[in-house]
Order: sequence, then structure tokens, then C-alpha cells
Amino acid sequence: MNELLQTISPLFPELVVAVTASAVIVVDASLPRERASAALPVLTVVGLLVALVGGPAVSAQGTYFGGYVRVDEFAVFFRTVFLLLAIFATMVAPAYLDRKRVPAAEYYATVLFSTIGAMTIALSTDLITLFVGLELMTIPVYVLAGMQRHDRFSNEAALKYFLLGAFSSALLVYGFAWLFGLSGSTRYADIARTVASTGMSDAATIVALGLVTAGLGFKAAAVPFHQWTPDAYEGAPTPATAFMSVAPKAAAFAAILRVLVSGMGPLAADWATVFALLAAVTMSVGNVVALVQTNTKRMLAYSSIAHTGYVLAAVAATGAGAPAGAAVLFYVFAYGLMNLGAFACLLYLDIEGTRGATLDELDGFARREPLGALAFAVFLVSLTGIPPTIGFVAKFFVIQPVLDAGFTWLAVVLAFNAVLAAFYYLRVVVHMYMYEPEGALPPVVSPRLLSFSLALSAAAVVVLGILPDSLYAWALAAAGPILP
Amino acid sequence: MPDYNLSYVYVLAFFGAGVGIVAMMMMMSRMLAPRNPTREKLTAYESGEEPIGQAWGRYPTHFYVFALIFVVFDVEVIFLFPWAVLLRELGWRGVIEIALFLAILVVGLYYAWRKRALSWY
Repeated sequence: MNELLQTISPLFPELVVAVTASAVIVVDASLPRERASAALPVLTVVGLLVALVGGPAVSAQGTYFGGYVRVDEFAVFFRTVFLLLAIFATMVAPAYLDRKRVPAAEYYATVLFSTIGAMTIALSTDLITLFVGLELMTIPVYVLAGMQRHDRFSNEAALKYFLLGAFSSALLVYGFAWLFGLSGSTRYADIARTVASTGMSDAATIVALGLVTAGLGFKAAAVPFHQWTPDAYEGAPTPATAFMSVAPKAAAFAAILRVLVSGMGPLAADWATVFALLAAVTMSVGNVVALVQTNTKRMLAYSSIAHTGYVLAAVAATGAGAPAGAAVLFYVFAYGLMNLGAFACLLYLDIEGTRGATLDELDGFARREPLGALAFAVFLVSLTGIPPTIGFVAKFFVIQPVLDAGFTWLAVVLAFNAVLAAFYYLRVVVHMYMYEPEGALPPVVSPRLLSFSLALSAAAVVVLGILPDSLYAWALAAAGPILP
Repeated sequence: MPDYNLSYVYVLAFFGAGVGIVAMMMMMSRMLAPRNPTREKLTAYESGEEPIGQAWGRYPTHFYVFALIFVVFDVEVIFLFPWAVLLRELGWRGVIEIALFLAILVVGLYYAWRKRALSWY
């Protein structure tokens, strides 16, 4: 028994989350509806906090399970990110789920299961672990998208997301098969050794690299693999959108770092240019299309594509070493915090169906819900990248390695895009604060838990924007195992 | 041609033989068999049912939920067989692991049961 405990202790956070998810299901099935709806968010958050706090204490760093899993600083960083995002996504949801009659236990349980998958991706040292984690993360998210069953947009979102997601998984696994065929192994370390000796001379390497890039590009919503994003984000229930716009994206970047940077690292000089181009196209298309959106939810969907572009720019700059990796990690953290917050701010408006508020419906929002509008403004300013917010610091950390890696043109594109993005983010702020409301506006609800969690994360956005040093130092340490 | 590609030649030969035999039998039946259709002979073969309505009829969606739960436990059995074969070698650790696996599935079944997914109406 002792030996068994020792074997599983490295996976303590994952196991705690899994037990919590099962407990959520059992509690919901056993308790009457009212008691369950009060108990479930508490249970979920407590479980996630135990995993968050207990994780570093119980799960020692090292390689486990015959080398399929490695707990290192990188994994610890991403575990923290995913657990925080899951806590945030749980805390903003209860009132909405209640109002829309979405089965709450299923929401919490799917968020938890998806979180386990995301954490598994960060732990992986092997393509097989990675793929299991990736599927465990994405399949619950398809369910989340379709959870508001009586809304046809929600159904559309789930179906589109599922079909394109399944397609991209197939591409990815085909790419993995090529990698296995090349190196005879699924370990990143063995793959890196093989590609270091063969280089790009082999056509098979190019095929493998292309398939893996396309597969992971789908998951991260990079242009030209982004078509599913706006419909899936717009149609999904808003708390689910908030979660699925950040956690799967963060996990996709964890996968990109693990596979491309540590597995295909020796070819970095070759794929970096491709990624720089992808980054430039992704951020430009995302921002330009977001400019013309009048629905905030759809606008934020395109904005999330643009942010993928910024992170991809940092990935392309791997030539600059650890600061590039740290920039990816820092940006993913910052993006998770501010984007989940921005989507969650739409939860104040009691809108029919799943669609987000139009710009006109946000007129005078600042007077109707001052705290919510303030939080929304903070998140939007941070997404724009204006100091003193975490969004500014994150962009700053991206630009430096991009310049060091010799992509001066990409740094120019990035700066230009940041200016472009300011227009549509700040337009929402203008609508909230300066326009007089006209006509019929959706009623405003202000659940206390939502306000509390938004205040907390908005404060974090500002504080980490002023004092980013310790977080950046941690991101730098976490990038160490990937980019020494 | 490398050795491992050669083994596909057998697959190809089997495929060819399979298609060939079926085609030959159908052709022979067409050439040799006497044909004398009556109304009785054209009805559904042996104990087949006369079709009622369209194939695109509606089914209760309940079947879908049952089918899903069935698939889960079907797959469970597939995992249980190899475990049962290796029971002695795996020892107590194997028992604990499979118990955990079953516990996870039982949680799902319990939820389905409590949410009345198993009752017909």
C-alpha cells in the first residue's frame, strides 16, 4: 500500500482533481437540487485549492511511470495556471448556470476533467502521454460548448468545435505517426536526437513538422486554422466560452513548447521562420476582423485569435533562448487571467440565449453596474496592452526576445497590431462609460460571487502589471527545462 | 522491394481472391439458375418482416442514452479480460487498480441512474 502511494504521489494534483470531479457527480446525484447547487461550487473550488496548494508539497520533481511523465518546473507552472483558471471559471459560473438551467454538476465536472487533461499535457515527456492529455482536455470542452442544450447556437458551437477538433486531432496523430516512423520512438528526447542528425534533408521530417504544426495550430486557433473559433466561442454558454478561450489555448502552447521546442528543437532555425509568418498573419487577421464586430462576444473571439499570434511570435523567437520561453509562459498566464475575466464580465447582462451583448447593449453599463464595468475596463485595457497592467508587461516581454532572435519586422508588426487593437477594445469602454443608454437594454444581474472573483482578478491584473518581477522570474525558471 | 512491403502482396492476393470468388459465384448463379419469379417468391426472404413505413422513422432518443451506457460497459469488459488472464502475476496491485477503474465507471452509472437515464419514462 505504501509503495502504491509512493508511485502515485507525483500525480497528486491530477488525482485530487479527478476525485473532486467524481465527488461532484456523486454529490449532485445524491442531494436535492437546491442543496446541491449551493454545495457544488464550494466542493469544486476546495478540491482545486487542495490540488493547487498541496501539489508542490506532495509531488516531488523527477521522472515517473517509466519515463512517460516528468514533473519539472515547467509542469508545475502550467499546473498552477490551469488550476487557477479552473477556479476562476468555477467561481464566475453559478448564477449563470442557475439562470439558464444548465446542469451545474456537469459544468463543474467537465471543467475539472478538462483541467486534468491540460495538466497531463504539461507533464508529458512522450507523444503518447501528450495525446492522451490533449484528448482528455478537448473532449470535455466540446461538451461544455453544447451544454445549453435548448439553444441552437450552443448546439452549432458544439458540433463545429467537435468536427474541426476531431479533424485536427487526426492531423496531429498522423504527424506523430510520422515522427515515430522517423525516430522509432515516441519520446521527445529520442525524436530530438534523430532530427538533430537528419536535419530537414528528409521529406518525411517536413511532412511530420507540417502535420504537427497544423494540428496544434487548430488547437491554439492560429490563422489559417482558426475558422471554428468565432462560432464556437459565440455559441457556447458564456462561462464555458470564458474557460474554453483560455485553458485549451494555454494547453496548446504547453504542447507546442513540449513537442516543437523540446522534441523538434534541433530544427528550430527552420520552423522559426514559419512560426514568425504564422504569428504575423494570425495577429493581423484576428485584429482586423475584430475591428468590424459589433457583438462583444464575437469580438473577443477574434481578439483571442490575435493574442494567439502574439504568443506564437514568442514561440518563433526560441533562438533567443530562455527569455523567449519565459515570454510564452508569462503571456499565457496574463492572457488567461484577462481574457477569462473579459468574457466573464458579459455574465452581468441577462441576455437571452448564448449570444454576447452587442455594443449598443453595453451603453451606459458603467452606471448600471459600476464595479462590473470597472473590471471590464481593466481587462480590456490589459488586453490592449496599456500600462500599468499585466497585458502591457506580457507584450513587453514578448518583443524583447523577438528582436533578439532577429525578427525585427515581426516586432514592428506586433507593435502596429497593438495600436490597431486599441481601437476595438477601447470602443467597448467608450460605450460603457460615455454613451447614454437608449431603447430596451437587457436587465443587469449582479451575483456577489461573480463580482468578488472579478474584483480579485482585476486587482491581480493591475498588481502583476506593476510588480511582474517574481512572476517573470518563475516563468524564466519554468522555461529552463524546455529552453536551457 | 524491401521485405516488409512483400507481406502486403499476400494481402493483395487475398483481396483479389475474395473479390474473384464472389464475382464468379454471382455470375454462375446468373447464368445457370432458372428464373421464375412469382409474387410469393418476391416477398421478404425466409422469416423477414414486411417493412412498415419509412426507414427514416423516429426512434425514442432513450435508445441513444442506453447505447452510450452500453458502450462504456462493453469497453470495460474488454479491459477486464486481459486483467483476469494476468490476475496472478499482477497481484494485489492489479486488484486495486482495476477496483479504481470500476469505481470510476460506477460513479458514472450511479449518476445516470439517479438522473433517471435508465428508466424508460
